[in-house]
Amino acid sequence: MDFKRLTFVVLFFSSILAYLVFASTSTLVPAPSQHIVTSGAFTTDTNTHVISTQAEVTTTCYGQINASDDSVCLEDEGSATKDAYFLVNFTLPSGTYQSVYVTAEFRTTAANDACHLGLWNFTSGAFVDVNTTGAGCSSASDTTLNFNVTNAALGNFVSGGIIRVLPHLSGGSADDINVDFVRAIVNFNGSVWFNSTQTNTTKVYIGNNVSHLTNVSTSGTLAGYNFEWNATGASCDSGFQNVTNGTLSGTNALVNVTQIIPTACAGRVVGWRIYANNTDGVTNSTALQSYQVYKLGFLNVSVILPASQSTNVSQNGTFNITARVFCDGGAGTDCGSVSGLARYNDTGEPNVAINTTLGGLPFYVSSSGYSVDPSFLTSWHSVSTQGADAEGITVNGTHLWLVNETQKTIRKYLLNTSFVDFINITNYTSPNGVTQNGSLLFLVGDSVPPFVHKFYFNGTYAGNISLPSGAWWGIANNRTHLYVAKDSGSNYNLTIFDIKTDSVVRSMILSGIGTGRGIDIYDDFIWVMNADVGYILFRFLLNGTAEGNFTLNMTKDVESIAFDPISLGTFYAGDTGFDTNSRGSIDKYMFGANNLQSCGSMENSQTCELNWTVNATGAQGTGWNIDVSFNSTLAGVSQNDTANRQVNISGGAPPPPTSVAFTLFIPAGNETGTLSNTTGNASVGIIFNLTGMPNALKANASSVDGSQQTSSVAIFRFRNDGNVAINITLALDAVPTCANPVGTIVTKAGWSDASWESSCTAENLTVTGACVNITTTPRRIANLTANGYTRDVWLWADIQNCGGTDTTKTLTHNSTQS
Amino acid sequence: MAGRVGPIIVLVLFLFTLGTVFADTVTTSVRYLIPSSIGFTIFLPANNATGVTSGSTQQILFNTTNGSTTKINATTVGGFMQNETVAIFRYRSDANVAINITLALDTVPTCSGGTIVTKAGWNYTSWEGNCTAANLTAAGACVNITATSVRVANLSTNGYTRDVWLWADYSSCPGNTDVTKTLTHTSLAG
Repeated sequence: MDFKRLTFVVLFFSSILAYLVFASTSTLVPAPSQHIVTSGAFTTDTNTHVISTQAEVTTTCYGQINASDDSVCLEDEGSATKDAYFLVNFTLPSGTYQSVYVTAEFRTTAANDACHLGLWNFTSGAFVDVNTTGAGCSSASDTTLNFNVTNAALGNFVSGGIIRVLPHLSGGSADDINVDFVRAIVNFNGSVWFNSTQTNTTKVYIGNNVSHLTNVSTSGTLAGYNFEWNATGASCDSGFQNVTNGTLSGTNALVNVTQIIPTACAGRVVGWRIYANNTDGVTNSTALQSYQVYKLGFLNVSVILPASQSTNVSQNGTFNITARVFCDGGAGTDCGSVSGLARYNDTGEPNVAINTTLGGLPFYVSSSGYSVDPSFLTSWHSVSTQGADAEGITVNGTHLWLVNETQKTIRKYLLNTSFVDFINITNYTSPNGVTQNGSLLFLVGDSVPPFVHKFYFNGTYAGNISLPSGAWWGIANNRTHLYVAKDSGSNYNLTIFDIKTDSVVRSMILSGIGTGRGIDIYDDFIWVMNADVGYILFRFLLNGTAEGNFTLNMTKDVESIAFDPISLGTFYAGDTGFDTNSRGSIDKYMFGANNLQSCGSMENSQTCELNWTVNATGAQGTGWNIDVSFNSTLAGVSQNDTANRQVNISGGAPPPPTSVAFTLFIPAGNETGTLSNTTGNASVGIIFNLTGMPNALKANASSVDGSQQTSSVAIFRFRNDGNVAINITLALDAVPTCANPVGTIVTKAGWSDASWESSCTAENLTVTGACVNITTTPRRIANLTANGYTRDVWLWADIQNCGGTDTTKTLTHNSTQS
Repeated sequence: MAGRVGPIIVLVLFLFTLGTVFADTVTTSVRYLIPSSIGFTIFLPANNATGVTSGSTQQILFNTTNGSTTKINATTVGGFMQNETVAIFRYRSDANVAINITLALDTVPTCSGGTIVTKAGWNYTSWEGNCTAANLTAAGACVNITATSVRVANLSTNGYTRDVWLWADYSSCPGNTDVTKTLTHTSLAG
């Protein structure tokens, strides 16, 4: 076997800079690199480019030697009878070709070979010898063969394509080929092309200084550009004209033409394009571009309601405001995103937004449709550093609880997310939702079998409800019923339990919500948060009828929601995967009647009407000016306010007085073990009867007719019947004493049967796990924050050595506004 | 035989008119009813001895072959003899009032030609040749137990206990004397 060493040198030929392969016969020494570069290089002759070969063929040269260049040689045939050859592919520059000249210098190692120069014929699909020496090719000296392709044959070449040159031998039985060089020279005119043609704005207004951009490239040398558009003439109708030009150089350039949009072009579609040429004289242009030219609109506004210039409204009565906005200005007008705000003032122009706080003075918006205002969104990113994934959430106005499925805890926080304590639920797999009813936490999970477990706020277990199998995710209550939700993929199946008896009341299906997760009952609606379809909050009537939905500005996996029963219109969404540590977070939303209402984006001649229902709470005999102020997010579109209307607050019903009232329930009649009496029977006396019990700690109170306090039924239930938050205190007229001087009677109260302690140290009842002594000093035993809220209170007596005692005292329950 | 005496408590329930109250102040009558209880438990030293709250206790015995012997210790039949540290009786109050406990024999025991005197005291050293106290009120004295009740304990509150030692003095009693009497323990509100 023969080997070859190909030596690499750099030669200068006249004014042509080229790298050539110079070969000599030698033993081949393998080397780590081998390449044949086929690239264009400029010569000093205009439009003449040499495609040179640069080869360092230092490996055994059989078959393909450079896969990337598709260069192939067979110069060592050994004992075979194949003819040696050396194939080089050249990549052509893009452009228009005047000639392609190929040449090769090589020799044979045999005595009587013919040397051939082959060229791929793209028409025949085969190599064709374009030059040959016949039998004159020898091993004594190099033979140079060449061929010039011109005229119609150039059509065989594709711009930017490949030409294939093949010096080869024939006739010898044991010949090898020594190649000095293979060269291709192309005479061509370089092409020009463009990309990323665009403007710097998505919406174009008259007067804007718009940048028209394109990236231009050439295979030759760039020379210059022209910009033309049809935003010409006094009326923007004089057709395409070349309005500016410039010079370019190199092979790539960014062309940036800025033009001020003429006012006359408002409403028209403006076309534009950029031309560029190179030094070969080749010119090309971008595709025709265009954009709509807008002009700033005018907000034409009017007030529809109140219809009269002056309107009388009863104090605490309601009236409607309806205002209309029209996007004015003719064709091509844009008014941007428009919103309206209802305002008031006592004299002069209204300039104060009517507030949305319940009871606000002198007006408050009582209804304008529910809306979610993303500006109220706040995210707390430090709910827990322990992976609290907020699988379930519930809130009672002062605290919120999260179910952490991973950690198996119910974590309790203040509303500012300060951690308070937690309930361990490690015994329950797959806990999901949680809800509270003022005294109990209800936890739902989809373990096998599924369950609802009850806990007092101090974590004491309080029983369970069995559920059929399924993916039970959500749970909510409205004080009387417990709503437990099972996700079936596209529907939410609700099972509704009587919260007192744990019995099933009914079932229903909430459809069309995708994967349901968080659920809550608020404002006599069922609210369900979808976990995976655009973060939509669905609303249903309590009978299951769909009542619209709201899209929230969220990006996370929302698992749970809870409305704050005290802070109206506020709700919390618990989510997971807040960060890479898989911590959860809580998002807080303000939700409810909204003064600022949106019409969305408005263009020419579009009309929008907005409505507000307003409660007049101001003093009788006062008069106010109101209007609606419309604004746009589009700079340059002026604010416009409707005409004023005067609203006079007259007579009418006085504001509802503050009501401090409550109902006290005591188990009586046949109610031992239950407390189903809904009418209240506060006049029933209670008794601590130790007949048959010489002494007793934690003696349960009973009603005088024998109905007893039990571990699950308190002796007292207080219900807030007022319209404000109230505290309820207990006090005895005198502390009971024993007939036996050494005996003692201590009366105690707590929020659960488990709250009794041997020594009560609390001043007032604020948590489930403590008790207070009931004496002549009033002790707060309940705080009921809103109408309808209830609190159960257990009462015990610790009696020691009081035989022969029969004493009756008066216990006073007193409520005050808290 | 032990016994207990207690008062009969009549429960009076006050029934009020049922009704709904909507107000900011409500009152509730709270009755604390604790009938008197004067129960007690008596313990005697014996194997597997448990307290007795009613009926009869184990029998006790004064056993000697010398018919003229003093300070004969009481022994529980089948159990143990009282000694310096263990009394024949321990009384524990189960009452919710202070109680007195009295002892009395159905009749005073006799022997042919001699006498038998039964005595009680609050510790082992309380025996005297001649018991002069009317009731036991201090550890340094003893009382004679006869057919007339004498107070041997005063327990002021529930759970309190009192230990009482019992002796017999035999004088000129012939052999083969064997007489049995009944001793009654009675509690009364103190």
